[in-house]
Amino acid sequence: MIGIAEATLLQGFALGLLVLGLAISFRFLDFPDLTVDGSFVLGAATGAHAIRIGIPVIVALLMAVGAGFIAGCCTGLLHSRFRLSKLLSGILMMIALYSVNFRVMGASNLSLLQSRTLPDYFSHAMGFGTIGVIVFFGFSAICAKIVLDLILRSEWGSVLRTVGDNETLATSLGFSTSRMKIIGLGLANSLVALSGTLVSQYQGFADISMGIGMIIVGVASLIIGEAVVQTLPRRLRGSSIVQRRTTAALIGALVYQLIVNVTLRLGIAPTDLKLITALLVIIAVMIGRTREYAFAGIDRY
Amino acid sequence: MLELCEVGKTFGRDGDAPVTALDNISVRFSVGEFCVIVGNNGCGKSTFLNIIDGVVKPDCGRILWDGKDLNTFPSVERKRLAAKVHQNPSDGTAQTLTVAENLALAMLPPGRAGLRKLVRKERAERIEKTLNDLDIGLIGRENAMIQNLSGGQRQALAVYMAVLSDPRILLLDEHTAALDPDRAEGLMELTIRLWKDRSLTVLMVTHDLDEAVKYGQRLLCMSQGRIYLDIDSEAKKQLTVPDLLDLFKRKRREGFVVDSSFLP
Repeated sequence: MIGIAEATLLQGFALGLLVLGLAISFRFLDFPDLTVDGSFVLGAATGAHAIRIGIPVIVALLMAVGAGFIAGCCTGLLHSRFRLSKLLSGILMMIALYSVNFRVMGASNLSLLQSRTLPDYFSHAMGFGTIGVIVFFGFSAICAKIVLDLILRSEWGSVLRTVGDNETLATSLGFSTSRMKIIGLGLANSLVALSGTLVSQYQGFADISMGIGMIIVGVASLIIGEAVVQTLPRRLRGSSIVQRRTTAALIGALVYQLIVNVTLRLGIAPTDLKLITALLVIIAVMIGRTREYAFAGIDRY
Repeated sequence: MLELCEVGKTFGRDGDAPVTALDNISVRFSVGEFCVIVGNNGCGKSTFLNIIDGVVKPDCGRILWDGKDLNTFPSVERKRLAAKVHQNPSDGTAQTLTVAENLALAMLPPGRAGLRKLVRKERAERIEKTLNDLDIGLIGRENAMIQNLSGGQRQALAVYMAVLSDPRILLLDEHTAALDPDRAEGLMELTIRLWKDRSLTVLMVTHDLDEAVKYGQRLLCMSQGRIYLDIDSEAKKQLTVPDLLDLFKRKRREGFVVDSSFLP
């Protein structure tokens, strides 16, 4: 059995990738994307299946990311080309992916215990144990954050943020808001899928129901992170809103997992965890309210 | 020259209560003209701008620019021809982006964005120069988020950004309405300056008769989808607000509806 600190860091960094993805869709694109529950499992399923049929782990990882990208693009397509509402597009993709995931796995559960996964390389092969996996997950999450910061502050990324902020302006600047949304959601869900495959590789199996409630985990992390980041000194939280939000995503993921692990160790029933999550989010929103403008729209969803 | 030929638009044509926003209007504007449009609520003045902008499709009639039908323009060029500034100061800028990012976005070639940094050195210099030039209290505040600026500052940026894409026509839909009189005057000065510098064709809708009399070379008064008065530059120079109200009263017999907000 591993300690609270290790469990928090492992889960926090692995799910931090998912929360970064949610920051793109929920915050920067202003798109409450419910695809997440499905694309998280899609990443896990694709990765697990690929590893089991002998595809090299790195390639399997890229396939999982690619599958997530396609899933996100489909949600974007449903919304922008077929004019379905944002919520409906996400919900439809979520349930459609349930069947797709089952097809990909061929069963409701795929074991990876017989296969060599990425976390295995870092824990056993290199002899670092759990610490090796934590460093690997942490490195991945922080790299993803840094790359995302660069992308979102580039010309393309700034247009993406404008689409989420003021669609009329983006259109009048000559950009196709549909295309930006489609690719933006693809990007968001590829991070979610990456998170899914890493989690399944670490726990040693992919399961059809492992994605249930992932949106809530993500949104709770996001909101808690934003409340925490507001209390940080300016130097630490980053000067631009992009850095503040991505920092908040990672910190939120860690803080949320810390709270989850502490409550579980305190002997609270796992079924009560959802209630605790709901209370936490309410508290975080209340904290956010007291500080004006540091985060616009902390409680929009 | 911008020319509208027999342009008509009725909303809700299939319903019980169709509303005629434009009643087969024909009108011409020469290049570089500054025309002010007034009228009561629902007289069709916003539809008028929206049809030129391409947001609303007319039921009938043609719109020509330099003798060419706007429908034959490729969509990108169609979009670039006219830029519009709305009444709400939040409409023309991105609220969660900084001043520098907003201006830099407007400096991009339309529809083209790469993966290089948005606010890079050469743009930062241009932005600094722009903020000095605009003189709206934003010198050294290029990293402020738009949502923390005043309505007047946001609207000034919106007008400037609209003009940066180099449109031929500038459409202003009550763009000073949300501002206090001082700020509104400052914004009008900026508008006039940009109009002169860039020889734009400006169509400005306003609810403020003082503004309508003071600015521009030509005044159109609309009611129920029709143009009732077309006052050209010579007559407009002499015009005062009481004159204009007198004209309104005389036109009443022909069906002109005077907005109660115009009457003292």
